Amino acid sequence: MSSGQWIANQVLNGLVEGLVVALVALAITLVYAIARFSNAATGDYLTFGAYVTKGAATWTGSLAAGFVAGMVATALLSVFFYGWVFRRLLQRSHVIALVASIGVAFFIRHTMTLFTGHEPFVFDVPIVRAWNINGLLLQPTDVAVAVAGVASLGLVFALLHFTALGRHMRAVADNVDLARSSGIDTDRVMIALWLLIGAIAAIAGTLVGLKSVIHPEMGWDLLLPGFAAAILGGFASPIGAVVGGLVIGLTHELAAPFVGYSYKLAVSFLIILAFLLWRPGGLFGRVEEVR
Amino acid sequence: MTSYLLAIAIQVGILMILTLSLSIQYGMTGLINFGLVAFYALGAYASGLLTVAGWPIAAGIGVAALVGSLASLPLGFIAVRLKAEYLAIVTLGFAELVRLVALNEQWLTRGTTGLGGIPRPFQDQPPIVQAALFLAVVVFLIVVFVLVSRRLTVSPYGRILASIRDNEAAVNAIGKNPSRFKIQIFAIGSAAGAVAGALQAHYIGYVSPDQFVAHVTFMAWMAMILGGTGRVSGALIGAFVIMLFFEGSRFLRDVMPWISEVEMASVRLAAVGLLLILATLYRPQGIVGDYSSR
Amino acid sequence: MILSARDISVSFGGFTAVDGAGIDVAEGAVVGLVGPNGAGKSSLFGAITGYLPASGGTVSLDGVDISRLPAYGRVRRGLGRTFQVPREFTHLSVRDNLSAAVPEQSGETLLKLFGSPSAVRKDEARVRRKVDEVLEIVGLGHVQDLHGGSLSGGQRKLLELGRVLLTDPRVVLLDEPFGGVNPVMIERLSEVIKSLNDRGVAFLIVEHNLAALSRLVGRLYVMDRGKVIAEGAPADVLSLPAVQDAYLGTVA
Repeated sequence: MSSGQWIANQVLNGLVEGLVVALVALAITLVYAIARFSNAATGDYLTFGAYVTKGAATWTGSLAAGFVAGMVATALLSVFFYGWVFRRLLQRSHVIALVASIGVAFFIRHTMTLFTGHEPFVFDVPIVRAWNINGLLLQPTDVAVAVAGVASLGLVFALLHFTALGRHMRAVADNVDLARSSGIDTDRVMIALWLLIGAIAAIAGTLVGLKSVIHPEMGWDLLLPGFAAAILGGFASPIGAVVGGLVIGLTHELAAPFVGYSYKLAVSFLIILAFLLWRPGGLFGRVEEVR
Repeated sequence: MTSYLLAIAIQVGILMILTLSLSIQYGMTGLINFGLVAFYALGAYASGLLTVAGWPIAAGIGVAALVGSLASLPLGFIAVRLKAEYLAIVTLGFAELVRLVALNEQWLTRGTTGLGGIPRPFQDQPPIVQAALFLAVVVFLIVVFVLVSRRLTVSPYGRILASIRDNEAAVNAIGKNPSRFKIQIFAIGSAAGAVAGALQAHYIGYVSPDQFVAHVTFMAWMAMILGGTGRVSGALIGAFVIMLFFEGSRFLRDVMPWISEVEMASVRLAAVGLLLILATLYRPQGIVGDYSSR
Repeated sequence: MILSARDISVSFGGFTAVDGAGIDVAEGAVVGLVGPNGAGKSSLFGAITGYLPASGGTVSLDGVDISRLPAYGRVRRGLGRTFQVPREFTHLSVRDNLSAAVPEQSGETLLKLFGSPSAVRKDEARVRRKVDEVLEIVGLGHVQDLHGGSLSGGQRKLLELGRVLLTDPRVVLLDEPFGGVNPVMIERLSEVIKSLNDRGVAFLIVEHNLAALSRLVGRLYVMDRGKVIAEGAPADVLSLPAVQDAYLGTVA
């Protein structure tokens, strides 16, 4: 394989991985936009979604039905924790909400393992040989994951930008008080947003499950890349989150051969670090007084 | 029974030191360390490796403290420039990095196999005496860190720490550099975390990467929140209550024998989560401390 | 010149708050800085004291360039400041508020804190004496055990002044010292400022209360839209048409 082909393959892998990270970052960013904290439970929403999808797919025999069930269940889970925990912490410091989200993460994951155990699951998808296009190796599952990822991102952006609900969501994310005073039913929009966040996480979980395996730590492992992407994207812009996700995915795959595949995750950490040193307040951090 | 109580007391003591570590960092300057387990791991490996190589245990623990505080410095320099939340994410990432190194640098850490044969102190004594002496060491170190905490707060140094908590901009205006104090406090807290790790290594006699997962960090966070941040006594009480709760849960299996050990582990960790949620909802003063506005 | 700021520019994003402004304060002088709201006075203040990043220009203190020093470093060199809204340490007692400001304390270094408790104790005695002196000057002795946050507005201004005084300043920048303060307290504050000035401390004062300011300053700078538009003796400067324009333009 020539080095050109090698790079092309890594780029392709990176883009597929990046799409998944983008979904995680999108869920993190949307929470940050409406509630101003970094939701560390995002990863475990993802894991939950993957498990439900797997369970429902096995039960009904249809992956599509499982997918829908996973999205619905995770959306409800997300709204449940909003109603029980995060809604009550809205007026309090971000640190409290962050700590609470760690609690939510642990609670979801280990309540789940009580029933599922720690053995990994895989989706029953036919194993197909990779397509070879001029030395470019394409895994059909990767293509499916990429198509599904792009389609879901497209749907989310269409929802945010071309529907009345989406306009209201963006208004709420921008400024809750202003949105309320201009007659938007912010409570309903908040619920819709948390539903959306859960659904996005479930999509990400299912895609990760399709690409590799479903296991209890899968979401937690994606949290750091997700945070890294959200930070790169400025923590406030959905588009930024997606671009950040792709950048993280690409850097992971391109750096992996040099730092070792086992240190792939560390690359996210270094990216966060380098970026925050350059821009301590994030991309959209304003010039503030010396504290 | 005595040996069981001693074993629990030692675990409580180690958790107390970990909680003191957070309490020093968060309670004194508001620095959020979500990567406490990284320093715990660094301390365990540092002392473990040195003593396996023949160093005395006391020296191993001392070097562990040094390694912990040195490792904290680069993070500290970054920390003072970041918003609290970003520091949380960075420390979370640091913990992941340390765990990856422990897993992958086989030549140093023996990877997943773990590092065995770490000397345990007082080995020539009968087991009960050995445990009692080990507990005495743990208690001694708790006292040391409590005294250090007191000296740091009730002193001219503590006056500046209180000023930083109150109004950082104004601290600059009296010609003092808040970052210097924060970095030092971060280092001292990290040293405590590393000492806790070293103690654990010498108590168990074995370290491996799977001991250093995120829930170690959050057990200590929970203990600190339960006890109330910013108070030394709070950290100690919180750690005690948490350990009581978790050890108590062992007896649950006597009542409900159909629950397996693996399931029990899940229940315990789910309970960590649930308690963290409940603590933030119903015990806000535990975490707010002086930082309600941040 | 004890303080000299040249060609200072400060911008936020695309907006230029200070556009090449310069100010000089002579040794032991009291200088005023006035201008309509939004003229850039506070931003210039911020740039001089190191609280805001300047995009251009230099600040020198007694001929030494301090433009690259952080805010606390400038204070250590002798450039003190107060804030428009006093930033006393609300949870500390008045005495502790002042004690914290005493420079070079043994008990603030880890080495001496743990290595030499006797030196720390001895140094605390020195701190106590210095604080006693300043309590006398600002007249807050009777409230020394109260929390900073429980003081009246005027007392807070006095406390901040006392705190700055303890840093051994050569020049002090006061940000609206008379804002929201009753006439009796304005009198008190003016007296303290004068008495400090008699000891050789120079002042640069941003203030809207022109009457009170004129009694203190010998020299006045007027800023408008990020630039210094006039300087000189207060009476002369305030009668200039450009200055009247700048003021009336915003008032009307």
